[in-house]
Amino acid sequence: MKQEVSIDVRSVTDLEAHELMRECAKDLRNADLWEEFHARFRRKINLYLLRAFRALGGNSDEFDRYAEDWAQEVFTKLVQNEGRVIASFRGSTELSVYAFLGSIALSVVADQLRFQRALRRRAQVVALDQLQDFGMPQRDSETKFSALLDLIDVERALREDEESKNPERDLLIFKLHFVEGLSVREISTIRELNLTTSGLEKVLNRVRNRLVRKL
Amino acid sequence: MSGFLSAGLAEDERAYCQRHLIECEDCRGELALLVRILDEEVSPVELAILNRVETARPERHTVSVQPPGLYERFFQSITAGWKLAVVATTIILVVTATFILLPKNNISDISPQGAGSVRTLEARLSSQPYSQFVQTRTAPAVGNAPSGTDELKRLGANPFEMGRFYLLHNEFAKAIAQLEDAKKQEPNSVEISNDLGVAYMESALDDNLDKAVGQFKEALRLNPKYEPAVFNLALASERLGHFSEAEEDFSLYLQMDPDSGWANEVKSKLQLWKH
Repeated sequence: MKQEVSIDVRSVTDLEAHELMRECAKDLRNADLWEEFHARFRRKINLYLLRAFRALGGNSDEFDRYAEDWAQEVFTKLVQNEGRVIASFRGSTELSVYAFLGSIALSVVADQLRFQRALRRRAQVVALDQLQDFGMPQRDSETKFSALLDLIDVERALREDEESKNPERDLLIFKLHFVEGLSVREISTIRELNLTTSGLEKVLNRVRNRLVRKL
Repeated sequence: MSGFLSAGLAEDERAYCQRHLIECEDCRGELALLVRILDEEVSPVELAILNRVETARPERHTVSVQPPGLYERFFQSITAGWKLAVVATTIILVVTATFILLPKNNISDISPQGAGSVRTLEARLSSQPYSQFVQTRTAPAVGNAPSGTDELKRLGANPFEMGRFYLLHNEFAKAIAQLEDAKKQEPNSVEISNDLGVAYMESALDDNLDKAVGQFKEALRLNPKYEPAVFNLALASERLGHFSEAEEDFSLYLQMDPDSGWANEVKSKLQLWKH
């Protein structure tokens, strides 16, 4: 017999995303809470798994084969060891919930692909995509070294930028945009940078001008 | 990493993270990957894959701990060949029943236009099959708008899909906001320009009619043979009182589409004007 029900069924649907996460962490066996969690986040989890799979070199056509198991793996990761992972959630916004689930989905896919590749190695089988990777022309060490020196110069120039109120932030934005290839819109979703797209464009313009002058 | 993304860090943690991300290529790469994974926009390809996965997914996995019943005993008693035949027949029946009986759960089914409902907007949306126009300015929402909206959000609908949904529920301000967003993302989409024009035109604000004309002309600049935009441009001209332009555009429309239900509406209108 149930001793105590902390939240009634009706209020479960009214919970904010981060509240739902917390309640699930508190009560790992509450079916109503987990039904709601499943209904609300299952689609997002699948989306994050798909994107992680594609980003890590997976073929979209093969995703159907893994989706169900990987989604289960995300849920398992959340609740295993008495819910250690879900209890570590500290966010207070909807975005923080998505970021948390996204990072778990990413780690699940990375683990699974690592496992699959290890199996393939053990079987002495080389996948075609890996073969293509090996066949790709490698940049010679001289080019790499030159690029590294350029980057060191860029870092120095940006760190010494007297016009900037926050040179470290600008340097990170520079690297996210020019090294990692994130668009301005994508960078604007990083809340800790606290910049709109127009603010980011201004930063990048200033950085560009500064580099043109310095380098 | 997720804390850095969602502004969940204390001041000193943020500064530490920022410094670390500048130096550590691996963590920065992971952050970039996470940003891309969390992107709110869902591409049509992703949407199709997700729908496929959702459709294929069994609803629940239950484990039976009861002793074998009649069903199990029956299965144990028949030969392997018969088992195969029974399994195959069952699969065929289940698949057929699923297709016939189960409600579908995708965006086009939530959208009322997909359900073959009555058309309450005189204008023509992109990819809209013809249905008879019922003229009313106080048309009730076709379906349950708030719950449908939630469902669309849950399914990860993009601004274009959300905009069309609101439009078909006569929520024009919300439709315009969503479709403007969609237009920013895809400025060269003929369909978005057309539907945004419809949202402006049906919002019943006089100055929005000019905006509607602008959108229809933009759609026709992108594709001069886009029938819905010609149809809608003629309608907009009619509502602006520019009857000669409207007649010209309707005549042009009939050259492009002489036989459909839309064409019949145009013919009736032109006939009416002659009397």
